[in-house]
Amino acid sequence: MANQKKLGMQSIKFENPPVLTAWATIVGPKEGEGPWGSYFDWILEDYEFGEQTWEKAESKLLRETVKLALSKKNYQPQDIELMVSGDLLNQITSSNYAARELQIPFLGMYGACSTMAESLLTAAMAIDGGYFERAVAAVSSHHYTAERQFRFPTEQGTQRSMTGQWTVTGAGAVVLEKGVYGGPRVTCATIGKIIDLGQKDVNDMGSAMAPAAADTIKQHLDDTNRPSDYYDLIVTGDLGKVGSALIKQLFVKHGIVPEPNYSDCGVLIFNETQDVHAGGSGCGCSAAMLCGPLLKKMEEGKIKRLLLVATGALMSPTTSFQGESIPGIAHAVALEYL
Amino acid sequence: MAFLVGGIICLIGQLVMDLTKPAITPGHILVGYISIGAILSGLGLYQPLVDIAGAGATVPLSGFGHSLVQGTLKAVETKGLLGAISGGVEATAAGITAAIVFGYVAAVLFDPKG
Amino acid sequence: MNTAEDRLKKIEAQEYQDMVDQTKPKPTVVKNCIWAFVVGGLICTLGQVIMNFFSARGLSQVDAGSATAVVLVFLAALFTGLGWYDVLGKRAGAGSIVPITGFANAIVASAMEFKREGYIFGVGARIFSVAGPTLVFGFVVAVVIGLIKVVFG
Repeated sequence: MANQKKLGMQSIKFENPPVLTAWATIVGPKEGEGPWGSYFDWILEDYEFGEQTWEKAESKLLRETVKLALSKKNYQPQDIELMVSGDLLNQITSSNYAARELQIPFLGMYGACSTMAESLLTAAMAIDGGYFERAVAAVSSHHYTAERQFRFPTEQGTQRSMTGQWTVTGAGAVVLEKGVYGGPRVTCATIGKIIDLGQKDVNDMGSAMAPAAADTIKQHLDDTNRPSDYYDLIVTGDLGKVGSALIKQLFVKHGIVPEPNYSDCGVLIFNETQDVHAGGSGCGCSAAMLCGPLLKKMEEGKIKRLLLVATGALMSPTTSFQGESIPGIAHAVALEYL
Repeated sequence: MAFLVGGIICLIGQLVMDLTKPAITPGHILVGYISIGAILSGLGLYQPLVDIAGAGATVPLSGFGHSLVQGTLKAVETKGLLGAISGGVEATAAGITAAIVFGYVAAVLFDPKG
Repeated sequence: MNTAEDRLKKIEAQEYQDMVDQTKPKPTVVKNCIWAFVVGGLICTLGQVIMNFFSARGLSQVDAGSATAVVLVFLAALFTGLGWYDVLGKRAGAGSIVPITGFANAIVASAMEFKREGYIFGVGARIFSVAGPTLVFGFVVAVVIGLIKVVFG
């Protein structure tokens, strides 16, 4: 007999769709100046957040975002049974140190910028599997910790490429519960395959990730038998301007037409005037957009069905020095009001 | 003249960065300039440029490569084989030491602002 | 290596590369070049002014050049520390990388960046992350040329 919970090749359906009961996002100053400033819970005044190092600041950012999400339901960390979390740094240290303080049983995730969707679908599976009743999925990224790990020292005078994207400083956290309350639910998800079409330019991640996003979206629609206009909004994580221009061409090639329901968090999060070149990137990009404006608009009823397709570029500075191409991945999570 | 020649030397670097493959970083540019400067100097082609442009040719990093090679060649004349090893650093000792010491002091005094 | 599948993959990658090349925004080459030319030229002019000053005080051409390098390196270190050099570099590109001030900027920026990892293996080790390769290639080429001269005289 066919597995009831699996759909098609790569997708899963939640039998009792877990509910997003609370969410929170804290972002950096630059994100606060962007078009969605009023939708974020808290905007930092500086990048240090009262800490000695940027790494500590990022960990605190993640920790405080989780606490803020919990406080909206008057939960304490001990009320939560599972924390699924990740970030961009080596050995996902921001998450590790945040989990050390929070003392919630912890699963670390690494999906580069796709981690928000990855954490969300993992937490949802744990709940729908019947193992837990209450879990939190969270991610963070910080512009300067990412910059020093992946690119140049911050004070070095370098020109940023036209296709380069600006790593978002921000964290998002979502509380997921076994479904008894109203609220947006995680109804199904698609786990992406790595797609690598040989792109090597680390200053152009959008181009490296766009084929993965297109593949996951196509697979999701095929597996779930849904037309592309089923969703009010299909939103990719951080393809940026170049990547989203490319994915629109790939949609045509794959024969799907999500426009005008398609957008990209990396394009949305900043204004044209903020000098970010091709847009935002990083785990925090899709997390801040999801836990800020997108869920808010779902709550207001302006979006009823949302497909979040967070995209990740899974290379490291070592592999790119060795001339390896960039493996792209995308995971899709469908959020709906039932 | 310093302005014109120095500007053109920098402009060539910009063209290399913009028109070749994107993996060219400032590090590659610096390595390329010091090496090409040294080779041109060895072939005797860089000194005429220094004579025309002065600082326009010595301030770009290719001029640093030129100093290295001229120092080496001079030392070879007096010390032979040992000079080939020691001459370059002797001629550029001031610049290199200044960069290391000032760099260290700046790092101690200032924090990166981002 | 030459299975049909591999070839298909290669064709797909090439097709995608063409699509990317068409979609990518072009760098603003003309603007970048004007910036690089003007800023690079100005830094060299500043170098000339400093060099004339030292020459006027009786230093030989070589010594005046060394002294000029020291002063420019000092200024670059200071401006990097104050957080100004990266602002200039964002516009000027090669104009602020190619002069010796760019070399100093790379040294100071790497050193500052790793201050929080300590003064020995943070600052001390990382200070050469960009400058190290530059010096290595400079020394190797210089020594090779020196050896050629020793052999062929």
